[in-house]
Amino acid sequence: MKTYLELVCPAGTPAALRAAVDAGADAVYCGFQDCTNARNYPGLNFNREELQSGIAYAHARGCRVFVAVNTFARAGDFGPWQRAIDDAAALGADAVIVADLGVLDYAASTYPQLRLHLSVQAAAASALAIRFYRETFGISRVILPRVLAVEEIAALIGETNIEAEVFAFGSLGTMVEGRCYLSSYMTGRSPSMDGVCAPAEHVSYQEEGNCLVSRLGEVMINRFGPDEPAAYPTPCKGRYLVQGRPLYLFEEPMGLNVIPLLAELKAAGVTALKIEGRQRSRAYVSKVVGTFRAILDSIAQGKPLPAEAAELAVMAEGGRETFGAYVRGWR
Amino acid sequence: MAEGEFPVLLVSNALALLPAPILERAIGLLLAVLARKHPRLFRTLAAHPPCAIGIEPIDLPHRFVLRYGGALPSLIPTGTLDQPLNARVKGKLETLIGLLEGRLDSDTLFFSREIVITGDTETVLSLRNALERDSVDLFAIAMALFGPANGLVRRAALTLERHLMMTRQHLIAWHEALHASRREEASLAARCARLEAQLQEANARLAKLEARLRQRHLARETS
Repeated sequence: MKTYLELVCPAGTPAALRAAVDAGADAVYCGFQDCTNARNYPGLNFNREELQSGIAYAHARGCRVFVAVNTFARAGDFGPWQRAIDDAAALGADAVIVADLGVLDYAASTYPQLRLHLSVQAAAASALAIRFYRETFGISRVILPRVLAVEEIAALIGETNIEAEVFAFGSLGTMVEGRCYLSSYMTGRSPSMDGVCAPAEHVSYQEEGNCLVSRLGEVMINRFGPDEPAAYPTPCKGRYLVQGRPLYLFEEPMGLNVIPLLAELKAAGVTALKIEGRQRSRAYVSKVVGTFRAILDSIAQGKPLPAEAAELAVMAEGGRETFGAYVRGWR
Repeated sequence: MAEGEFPVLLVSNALALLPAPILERAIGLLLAVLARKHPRLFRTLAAHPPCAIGIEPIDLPHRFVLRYGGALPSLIPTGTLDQPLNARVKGKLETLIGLLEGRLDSDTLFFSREIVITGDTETVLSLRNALERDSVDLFAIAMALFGPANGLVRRAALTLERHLMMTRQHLIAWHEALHASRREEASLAARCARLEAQLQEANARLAKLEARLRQRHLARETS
């Protein structure tokens, strides 16, 4: 069957990789157990042997594996990023997902046959930026920042004629990726440099009466009432006191879900859909990937959407869903 | 109940009846089988700095303290969780078992407040990710304790579970029938919450309609 839109799925563990492949992923993305990828959480990610067997498992079932090496290399310490590219190439990764100029240059010059995908962390949101990355490093695909409307995505693809991958489901960052230092300001660690936003060692939850209070270091991020859904303690989705009133200053905690926009994204020229959530469980991966697979296959065959499309809402952060920046008129 | 699922009603009833010393002995045996079947999980737990996590099944009279890091893991039943702990996890027994076996998504349960995690998040996250790597089948492990009789015990357990489920469904139906006439008007707060939920749903529908309109508009333009 012809693929309507390529389905690129998260894997934080070898078990999640197998779950994604079995549920019908066209490609799986994952990272090594260190600061070279943007989901560097304790107990997550792959060692070299696990990645090797994961790639073998995926390839045997016609699924590709992309390795995220998408943080920014530390000054004077390029070793981890160089090893990550070397090992991803040696282990047979189908592509590496990269943001840092130095890492891109190293990968492009050392492994000219290795496919390069420009990470969302690079925040390439203009035709000029995308052309620069393609002409300088030969990137094959850009993962577009989550700040663009569908019309802007269509224009960018039209101007650059490049493969574009967009986020379709999962947690939503409201800030420009690769430029956000809120977590670093509060904890000293950031997704761009250390691969962690709101690192777990700084996160705490306490029950105070009927309320659940989340803190990042010493900063209270939210206080959830007895019937309110909880959310991650990420600084951009915190509820802060503004002139004495608790308000979501940047964005409310909600999960992205583009199922109703799939036809528009296809018409805009998008090549691939990315499911967010390498930090989530294999149960999440199975459910979300399986549902998207069924939806994409139904659309490709001209059938109505399967009923399970509505079942994903419960998995959204804060228990609510949004189209994010894709549809701005409504907001 | 489908084959392969956990007979949670039977187990929660049995656990509620067992005194703590017998429960502790049974858990010790279960952990020994678990260690044999999942050596990688136990290596990961042993490599963690020593820690204690309080486990609080809200539908059981027992609380548990899980200790690991360095020494062999232990899970000790206790009446209260007033000792120093790194973190606490609270939820229904069925939910906690689903998490242990990796059948449920912990983040979804956390968003909906079906589980509550307090204290050191890093410790709980490390444990969750260690469990994610192995597919633990707790029922199969418990059945392994019965040696050659495990097939017989398994069938008996599943039959008992089916009976317990049917009894519970009958009790729920009777309870509903008895209380239907005495149900009070919903509180103002609950009505407000319902209205807000309806408003959100209407907003979502409006957004979808807008998306469909844009889609049609786009299709007209391209045709």
